Amino acid sequence: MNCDQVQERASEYLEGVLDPGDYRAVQDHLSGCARCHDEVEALSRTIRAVTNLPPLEPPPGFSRRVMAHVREKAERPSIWGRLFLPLRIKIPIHVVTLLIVSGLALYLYQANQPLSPPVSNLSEKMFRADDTEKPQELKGQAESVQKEAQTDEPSLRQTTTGLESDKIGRKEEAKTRAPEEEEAQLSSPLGKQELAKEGLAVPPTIHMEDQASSYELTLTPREDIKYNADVLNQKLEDLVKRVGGEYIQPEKKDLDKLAGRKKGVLPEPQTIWLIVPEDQYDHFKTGLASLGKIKPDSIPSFKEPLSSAKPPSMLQIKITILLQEKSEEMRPADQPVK
Amino acid sequence: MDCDCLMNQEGDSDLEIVQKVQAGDTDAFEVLIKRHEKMVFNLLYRWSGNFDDTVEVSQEVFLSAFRSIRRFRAESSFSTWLYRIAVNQAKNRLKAVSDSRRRTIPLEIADPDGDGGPISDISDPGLDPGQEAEAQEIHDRVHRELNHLDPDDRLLILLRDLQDVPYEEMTKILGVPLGTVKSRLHRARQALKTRLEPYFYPTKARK
Repeated sequence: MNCDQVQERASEYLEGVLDPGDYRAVQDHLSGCARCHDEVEALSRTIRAVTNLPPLEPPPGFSRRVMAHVREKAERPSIWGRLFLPLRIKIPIHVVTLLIVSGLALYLYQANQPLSPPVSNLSEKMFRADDTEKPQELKGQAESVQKEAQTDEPSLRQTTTGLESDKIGRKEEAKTRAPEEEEAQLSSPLGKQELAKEGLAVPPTIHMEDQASSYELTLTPREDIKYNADVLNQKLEDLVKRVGGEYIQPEKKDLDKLAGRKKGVLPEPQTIWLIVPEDQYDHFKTGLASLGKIKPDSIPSFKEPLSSAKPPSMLQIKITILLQEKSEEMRPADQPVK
Repeated sequence: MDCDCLMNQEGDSDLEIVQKVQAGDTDAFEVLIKRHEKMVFNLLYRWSGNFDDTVEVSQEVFLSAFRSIRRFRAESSFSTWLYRIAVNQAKNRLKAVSDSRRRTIPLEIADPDGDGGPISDISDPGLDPGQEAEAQEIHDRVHRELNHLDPDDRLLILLRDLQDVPYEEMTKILGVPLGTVKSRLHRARQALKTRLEPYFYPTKARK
């Protein structure tokens, strides 16, 4: 065993934990090597110096002071104990509190849930727009009505007949709405974005007795009537009258827009509003299909009116006339607009 | 708890007393404190070198042990478990207080009167005044040099050479394998030896 190996094993040698073979080898080396002997002797003295350090007594009363803290902790209930003990008292309190909180949460959820706008109110206000008003004002009015319909504030949901008097106020309210509310409104099928994109005036006043549902259809006219706005309008008017509905005359500028197609002007989609009795919708759509391609082309089935005494519900139908078919922009189905 | 009850429990093993505490006998914990306070106190004092800190940390060690005594599963002895708490508490304390402040407190500053503090009260009745003074000087020197070592090295030396903790228990306390404990301990002892050699062998150092 060389000096390095002895130095490595010096601690274990001094503690007597080396195996007998190693122990003898170290002993033999130390008897012949003065340097290693001195090193091991110094190490031994170091260990003894630590071992002989006098023991220190804790300060008097140490255990008593610690026990005072221990008892204090033992008497103080744990978090579990504080929350749930005694069970017969705490559990009913927690249950009642939970029920109250749940009820309150449910109430707040329902109170804040966005309600479907009553379409009759919406259409009434939209259609009540006077022809004499400027188109820009009408558009602003339609926007504010849309916003009002989207909001959940009861005061704003109330329909008033004095539209003129509160129009300005509502415009102001619309400006101060939260951005997310604005966004929600813009995503509405009958929302501002769509109206603005079409650049059309809101159709003239129609008073409806029954609450109506709104549908959107897209018509790509047949080739022979595609560029003849008068014929197309006349055919649509005839079709609507045949099913007992109402045809809302497009404004002159919309007719001009349609007429512009003949001159090779870049066509813009024209929108026509119709009112059709719900029970005649199938007939109407069949007739419309004879004028060109319509999308969506599925025909929803409607229940027959339960009582003949009750007048049929009216459907508000928006038809967008396109020269080119745009299947990718179509709505997935002709679902009622909520 | 009256003294009779404590006396009755003094014959019980640590594990039996722990089980009593776990069963709700809070006062039985005092027996465990009395049994182990000296061990904890000495380890922490030699490790920290500061008496006031030692009192505070020792108290926290026992409080911590009481708080977690329900989790004691007798997988090791109670003393090993308590050592582990003490080591953790002391390490946390070391982190909290700056090392520089702690390491630079020499015994002379901590004990400006030079009377050796609480240690000086303990004297060996078999020594004459001259020998006693010499022994005290050696203790002071060793204590001071220990405090100049790396805290981990110091801990190893204190556990093995001061507290006589078996190697197996040291592996549990420190959470390292036996070979690592042995090699680190040897290295720590060599470091302390190097620091004490000039004092032990002044003539050799001068050469």
